[in-house]
Amino acid sequence: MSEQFSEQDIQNLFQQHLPPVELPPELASAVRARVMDEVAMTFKAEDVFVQATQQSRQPSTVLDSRRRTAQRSSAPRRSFVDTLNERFGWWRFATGLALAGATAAIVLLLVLALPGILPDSGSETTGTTASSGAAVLPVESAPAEAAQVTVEGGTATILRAGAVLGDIGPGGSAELYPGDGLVTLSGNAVIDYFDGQRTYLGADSRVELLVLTRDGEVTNTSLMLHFGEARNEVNTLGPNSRFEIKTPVAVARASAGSAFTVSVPSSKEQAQLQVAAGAVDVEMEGNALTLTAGQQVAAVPGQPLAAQDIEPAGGQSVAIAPPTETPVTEVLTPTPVPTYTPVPPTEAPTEPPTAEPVATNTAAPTATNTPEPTATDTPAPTATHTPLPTFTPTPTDTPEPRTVRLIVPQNGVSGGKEEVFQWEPDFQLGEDEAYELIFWKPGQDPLTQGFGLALPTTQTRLTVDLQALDNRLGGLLDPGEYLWGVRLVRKSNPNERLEFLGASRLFTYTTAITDGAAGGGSGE
Amino acid sequence: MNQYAAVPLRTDTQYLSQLKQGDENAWMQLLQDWQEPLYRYLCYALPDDEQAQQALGDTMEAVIRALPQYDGSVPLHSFLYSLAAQRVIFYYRKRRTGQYRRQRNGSESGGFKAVLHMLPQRYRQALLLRYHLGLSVTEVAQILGKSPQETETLLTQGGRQLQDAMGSAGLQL
Repeated sequence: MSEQFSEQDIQNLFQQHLPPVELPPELASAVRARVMDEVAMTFKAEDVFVQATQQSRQPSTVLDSRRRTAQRSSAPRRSFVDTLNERFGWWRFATGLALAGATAAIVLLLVLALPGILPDSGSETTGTTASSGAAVLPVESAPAEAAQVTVEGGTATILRAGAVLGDIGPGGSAELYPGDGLVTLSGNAVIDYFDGQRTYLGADSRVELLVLTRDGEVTNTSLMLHFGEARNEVNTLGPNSRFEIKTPVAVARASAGSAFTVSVPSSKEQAQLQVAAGAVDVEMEGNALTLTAGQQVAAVPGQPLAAQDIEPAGGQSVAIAPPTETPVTEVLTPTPVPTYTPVPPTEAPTEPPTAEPVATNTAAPTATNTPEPTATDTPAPTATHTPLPTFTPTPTDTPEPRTVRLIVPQNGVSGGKEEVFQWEPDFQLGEDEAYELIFWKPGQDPLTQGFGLALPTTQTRLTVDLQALDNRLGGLLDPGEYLWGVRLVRKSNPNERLEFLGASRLFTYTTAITDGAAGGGSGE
Repeated sequence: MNQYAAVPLRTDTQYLSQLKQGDENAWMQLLQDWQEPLYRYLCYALPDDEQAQQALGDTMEAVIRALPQYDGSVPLHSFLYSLAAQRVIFYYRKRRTGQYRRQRNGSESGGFKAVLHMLPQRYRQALLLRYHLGLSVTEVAQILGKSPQETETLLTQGGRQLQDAMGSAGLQL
């Protein structure tokens, strides 16, 4: 009818009719709190490792590979390999040997020639000098501590390094390392940290263990409650020790003898804290408050922290009373009877130093999967060093490696909606075996760190709605590059991962291209 | 005209590496610089303030997760807006068709903003990025993950649909 709008017309329309919107201050501060918390959680967890190395004044020790693996795999969302690459890449790669030699020589010279001018300064250095005078890589001060998770009903899922590590069924237990996440759906879980410190996690909750360290008598426990409910008992807490529960908006720090419940709604906009025993410090946006038994507070960004008495009698005690005691000792015994064994990814930091983001990963997964326990790196599998009794490499009777040929999607394809994945095996599926289609990030170990896109199947072709999966998995599947492939699992127990079937292809999960205009970009 | 022009463009590598290392000051600066522009965009890209507020938090969390992969090859604002645009897409994906169809039939008289919300979200996003924020076609393409040609098409068709929608709502230029 009329003439078509020109660019200028449209621009004028937008300028005239869409005035600037002001950001509400409460929203700004809520988002700020949420982001800074998340930043602390995401980026600082790796510093825990570094801090530990810096604080170390012990002589250099050779880290047993088991423990190092646990350290690595305990990194938060982004791959710990990335972190190591960033921090120590210079050391590991080309210049590494030369530099190590030179450093050792210099230090040796200094030690021999100037013994008097080597004061007690090692602790402030970057961890490259140990009291023995030898040049070493950063030394860790304490072994990686692990909390014990026991699931009391339903199932819980452990997330490690951004991937689903496995599900724990009712009665099952597993170890939770700093950086690990734990999600309960229908079930409840108990997390035991150090003696006398415990968290009961309610159903539909998500937590992340941020810090768990012990240095002599001093313990440091920090748990992030993303949402859900965490009831905490801190019967023992030594001087200078810390036990804290972080939430997206506030932090609660316990004192010895305290029992308190923290709950966070799924919107993460506030946190509720109730104290049943002892005293708990609450901090939000620089304001602090101490709650004592019988008090509660709602921490809402932008509003002052104000303690209130919990409703007289009845009400609160139900919420806070510890559940029927499952004896702690049972959980802490060195035979955790896990429903799955959190097999740590082995080779991560010694992956090939190639910088290309894609091509290197298409090959079979390097040395990781070689089932023979052999090997020069790991003297006598586990045993003496290993603080984790569950791990045994199970030198199975080396079967012939089974593989699949990936058919679609092609390597390097992008997609964001329904995608068809198809593969062709070169073997016959065993009776109790099934395929699991998996994604993993470049650099991760597909067998242990890949996450399933669908339930295990005996079919060789699957259609996956990635968007629906994204909505379900949340942060686990975000737009970005993944490798895809197929893993063999036990049909009767899909948590039992039998074998990675060799092939992998790059797939870029994207959400922007597909919206409605898929297939050429013209709108409907 | 260019809504983000007022924001200091801190894309230097030092700033980026501070962000990647979790430097609190750098993150505070990022929030100070970008919370409001992103919120402004989300307010108009989503149907109500509540959704925009939720999406702002989600966007900032996505920034934290995505930053380690951000190499600075696209401008920081393109990177940030692309994450915000994804939140908008997620929102509409979840609600799918029903929502805007209902609006299309229902609210014919809510002014320009209501008209804008009658458009399919991909058109609305493209138009907002281009004409409200004043970004170039190339930048809009980067943000929406499309080619410049596809983006041009989106903008042209979006402009046409906007004109039609304004006509049926009785709005004039």
